[in-house]
Amino acid sequence: MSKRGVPLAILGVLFLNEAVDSVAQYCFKKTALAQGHPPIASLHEAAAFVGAALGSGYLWLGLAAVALVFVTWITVLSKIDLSAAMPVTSFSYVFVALASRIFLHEAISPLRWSGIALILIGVAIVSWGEEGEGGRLP
Amino acid sequence: MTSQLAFVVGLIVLTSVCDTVNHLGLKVCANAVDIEVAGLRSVARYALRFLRLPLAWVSIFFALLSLFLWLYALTKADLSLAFPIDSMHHVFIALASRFLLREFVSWQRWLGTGCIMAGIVLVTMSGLAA
Repeated sequence: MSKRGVPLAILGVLFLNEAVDSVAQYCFKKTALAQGHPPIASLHEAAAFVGAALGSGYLWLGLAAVALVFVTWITVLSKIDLSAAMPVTSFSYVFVALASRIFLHEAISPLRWSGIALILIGVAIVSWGEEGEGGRLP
Repeated sequence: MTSQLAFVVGLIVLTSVCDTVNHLGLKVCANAVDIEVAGLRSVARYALRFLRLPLAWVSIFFALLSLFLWLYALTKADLSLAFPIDSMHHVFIALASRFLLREFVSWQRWLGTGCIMAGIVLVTMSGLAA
């Protein structure tokens, strides 16, 4: 198995996968919003929460998106290392932040944007290191 | 408000741990299935062979546990707060890849992982300010 970077085609597939993943996150947040603020202090209440969530159409839409992401993901994992594939999934932070801002009308403070940017820079460093230093064992 | 944030962060950490177990299981299964994927039929064959592994179902169980913990966290926090904090699984995955799967993790990847951790701290602080 080659450890030298991630092939461009696989990168493209992973990138598309993240867009679909952010649709799933939007659907999950809509599912949670419909539940209000349920208290969970017992197994019974936990089961009631799971049951109520399972009755939400948004949950199933989200799960359909996750299923698509899952099939793509296991296919990609058979081609490259988990620790190489994982960083690419971080592109979803931009998509999810934008979806939160535009479609869920959440307020995102400069501090929060900074944190999200730092996470992205972390991802960039990880990816760049993957390209340049791959294959060299300590 | 502070204890509420701590509870949400705790929930997200649990979600990340379940997610890491899920992904580790998937990788071990993917390594075990040696079917070349080319075309729709081979994808189906791949999936069937995959689902015959008991470990795949352990992965699926942890994925479901992770999902409902995540939904519960989202009833208590904004998506723009919870989602970046969930990037904690990158740290867990890097550690697990190195020490459980014995994959090579370069120093750049560790540096990036540190950067991600710093970002998580800032996002969590933004939750304190809100």
